[in-house]
Amino acid sequence: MSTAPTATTVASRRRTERLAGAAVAAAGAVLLVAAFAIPEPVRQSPGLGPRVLPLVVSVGLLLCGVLLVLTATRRHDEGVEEALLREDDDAVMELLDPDEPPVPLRGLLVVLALLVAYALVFIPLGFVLSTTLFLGTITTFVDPRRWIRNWVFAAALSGAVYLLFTEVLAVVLPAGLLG
Amino acid sequence: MRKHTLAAVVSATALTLAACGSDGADSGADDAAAGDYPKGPVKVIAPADPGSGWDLTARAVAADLAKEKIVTTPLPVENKPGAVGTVFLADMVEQQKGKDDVIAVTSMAMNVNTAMGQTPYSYKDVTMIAALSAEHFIVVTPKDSPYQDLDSALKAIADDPGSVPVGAATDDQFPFSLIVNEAEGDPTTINYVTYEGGGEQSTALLAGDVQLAIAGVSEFLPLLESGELRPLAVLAEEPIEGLDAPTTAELGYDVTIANWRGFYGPPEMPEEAVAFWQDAIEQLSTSESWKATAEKNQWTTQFMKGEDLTSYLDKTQQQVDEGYALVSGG
Amino acid sequence: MDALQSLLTGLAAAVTPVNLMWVFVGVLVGTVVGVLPGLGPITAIALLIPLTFGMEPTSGLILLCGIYYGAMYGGSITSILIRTPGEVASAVTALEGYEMARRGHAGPALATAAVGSFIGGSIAVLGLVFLSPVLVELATAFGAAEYAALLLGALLLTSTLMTGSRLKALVSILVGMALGVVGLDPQDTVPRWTFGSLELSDGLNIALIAMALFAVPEAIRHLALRERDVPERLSTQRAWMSREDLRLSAAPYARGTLIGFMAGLLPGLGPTLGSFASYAVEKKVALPERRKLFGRGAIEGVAGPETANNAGVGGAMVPMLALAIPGSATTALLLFVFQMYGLQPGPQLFTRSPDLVWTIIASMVIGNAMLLVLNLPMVRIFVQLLRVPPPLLYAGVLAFTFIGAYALTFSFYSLLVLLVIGLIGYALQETGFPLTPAILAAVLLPLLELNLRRALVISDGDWSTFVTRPISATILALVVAAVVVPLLLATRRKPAIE
Repeated sequence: MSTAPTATTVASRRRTERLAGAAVAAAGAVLLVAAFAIPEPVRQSPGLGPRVLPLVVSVGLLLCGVLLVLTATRRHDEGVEEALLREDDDAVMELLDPDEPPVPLRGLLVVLALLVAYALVFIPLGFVLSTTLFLGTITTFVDPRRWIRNWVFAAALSGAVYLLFTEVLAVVLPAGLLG
Repeated sequence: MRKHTLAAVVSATALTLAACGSDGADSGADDAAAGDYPKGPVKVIAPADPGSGWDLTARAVAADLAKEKIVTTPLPVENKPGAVGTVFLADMVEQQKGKDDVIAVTSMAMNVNTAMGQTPYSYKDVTMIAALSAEHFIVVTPKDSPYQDLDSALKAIADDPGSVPVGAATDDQFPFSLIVNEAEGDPTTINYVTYEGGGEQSTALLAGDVQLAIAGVSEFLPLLESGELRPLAVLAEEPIEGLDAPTTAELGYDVTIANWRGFYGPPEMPEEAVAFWQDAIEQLSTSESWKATAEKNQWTTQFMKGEDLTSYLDKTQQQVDEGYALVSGG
Repeated sequence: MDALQSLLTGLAAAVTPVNLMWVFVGVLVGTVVGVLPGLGPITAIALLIPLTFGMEPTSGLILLCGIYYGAMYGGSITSILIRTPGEVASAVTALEGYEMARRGHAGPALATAAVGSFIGGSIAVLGLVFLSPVLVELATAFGAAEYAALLLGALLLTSTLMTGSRLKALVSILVGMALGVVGLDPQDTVPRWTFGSLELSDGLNIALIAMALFAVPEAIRHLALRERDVPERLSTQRAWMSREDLRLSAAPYARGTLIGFMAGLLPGLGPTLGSFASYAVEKKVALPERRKLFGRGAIEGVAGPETANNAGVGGAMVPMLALAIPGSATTALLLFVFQMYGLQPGPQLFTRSPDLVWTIIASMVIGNAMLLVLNLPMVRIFVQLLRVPPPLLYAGVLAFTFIGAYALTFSFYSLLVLLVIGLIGYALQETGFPLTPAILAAVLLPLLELNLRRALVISDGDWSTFVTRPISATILALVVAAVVVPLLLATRRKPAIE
């Protein structure tokens, strides 16, 4: 059911590819510098030292990132028909896979902000409070009409899980303000 | 009787040793322990993953203290793993100062971490409460190895160190370096293969990857008993009964460092609390529950506190520092 | 047959109402704990050991073995349903299992996992009983050089099987390698890429990486899309395997058992290598029209690895019982448990305490059977999880990954790691990078590096050790024949790949 990509999606996909390539290359560069910072061992073992693998990995990332940027700039995007012509089964199947709609930026930013906030308050507020807040807010963001169901779910799951872990499994979760 | 008797004998020997060692320090703590400490739960921290040696020690000690009714308040065991205990050591020094509701398990790894500079802190920055057990190191070789005794192995190392790989965990390389040093060899040239523990070392010994390995006695017991491995030397003053192995002392090497295990509290821990725990662990060390636990786990009981503990730690630290200096050629 | 007789005697001893109850409790508790992300078999056993203090040795051991098997299976349930592997071995199951669930085949995936686990687990126990003496020889014939050759083969085999853009798969492999490098160097004990952090010197926990790369990106995506209701294709899930599913699973069961058991024999590699290798082999031997389905819900990719996973447990018991050499953290813990009950594994185990040993071995068979009996009817119930409205389901998944991460170090640090790697994973997934190669590399590469460097230290820096040792040379020759040659041929035929 997939259609050939339109000109705009092709352009935006290429932009993303270039961006991804640049990010990979940058990560490779940072790791390369860090690889040189690996201290010499006090006692030299025969064979490969501790730096060899990190060097291979970081140089590899750097090169792959550059290659990604280059191919995204040169390569033209193809539709199912062209992939079929090339007899590249993998490419065909990929293009025919269930549609994955693009993620809206606003939704992504809200989810990420809530995740970071959850991590920050997890220990200070304690498991039950922080998890109730996180679950309640994020589910209500997704589905505001069913806010009662969402908050009941949030409180019930947090409480039940807390009891299961601390009472039955003896795994100590942070008690926080309720402790 | 399916229980092998070796571990029992090991603990018995060590008990005698411990009794000899701690004669002078037995009095004094009793008055303080009579107070109303502890008022609430005391956290017992295992600064390692569940299932690790420290974790199992912490859980066994907490369980036995409760079972023997030595401590009646709850003793929740918590895992705080991180960089061989140095993450929690830093937390103890920086965040828990003066508190009386937290103690932690530790061992000779603490000396090693300090020597290697993995942590700016040492046992001197916290309140060392007591040592509870110790495990001797042993040097082993496969049954069909060319080395009949420690001296022939050391000679081979001196002749061509590259061709004699020695299997050892990072912490256990120090004692071996000390021996090589005493044998007038050059410790900086030893070809160590780093393994994580006795299991990996045993595999390597049986596969013929290495002909020499050093670790705690309990790591090799089953294969020593079955004769797959031969002991070359136990790093101890006195021979271990039931184990036909020469000691380093007999062989003329003054390297008797052992892997102690014990408990520490926060810096400036209230004296009442320190005394309480010293007393509690001392009582535990002679209780039936602990004897059974130690025997099951092949732990050798060796109680130390106060001045004995301090001088023992000082000596261990000095040996470890020396071992590290030898390895690094510094 | 001495062994058979002893096994039957053991079975008779183990099949008492009380012991059966303990097996049942163990399997049930194990499954529940295994379902919780981040709590794998190790944590399950470590946490429950205190409960068995004061129990009779037989009952205690039976309970803990049941927990072990249960936790292994529990991990695959969440892998399949919500792509949240609790431990590394079940990360492989998530590859095809989750894709099956997304296409309405969660039932068959769970069922084939349960059946495969039973077959692999039971046959491995038989192998343990009858072939132990021979296998012990095999387990100790492998040194570091052989391990390195084997791991190189496994890594090459799996990485030639990636679909889509080769360049992107390569980036993913490199990312996985980078995650695997972080920590103290295994041979020389110097910090690598720890950026001065003490916590990072322990390395990144592989289960945490798996959760962060698989569960977190998927949950972020569904929540950010603000999906309110269960999509059509998920609301009708087939609950049971079809005849066709069973036919497709049969051969993977057999291969998975063999691969898993052999890999399990080698201390240090254990179930992880077995399940990865089994996945690779299934994909390699699949007919062209089935191979296309790999990555899109091929049942062989669940059946093989799940079987291999449990067969690996039986394999790992061989060096543990016969030599007291634990092959993994989990078997190390089981070894401790055995010793706690006064049972000393080692060459003399079978002569010293035969009754107890045979009862335990028998209880493993019973535990496996119990797992199947308990879980097949439950498949229907587990599948209902997918009917939970997406906001609740994925928010819940995130909360559980937080617990799983927190329970690793009990500090903010692992939450931070979860978030950072999760975000990297999300960015990679959204820009079309496959994540599987990353997990694979993060697991296999550190092992390969470790053994390669060990072999070189042992040979005093002489690279010829890999071709002068007969077993290592044979493995390398096989690797060249099986991996490199077809690759060269393929490249020659289709010169324009990227």
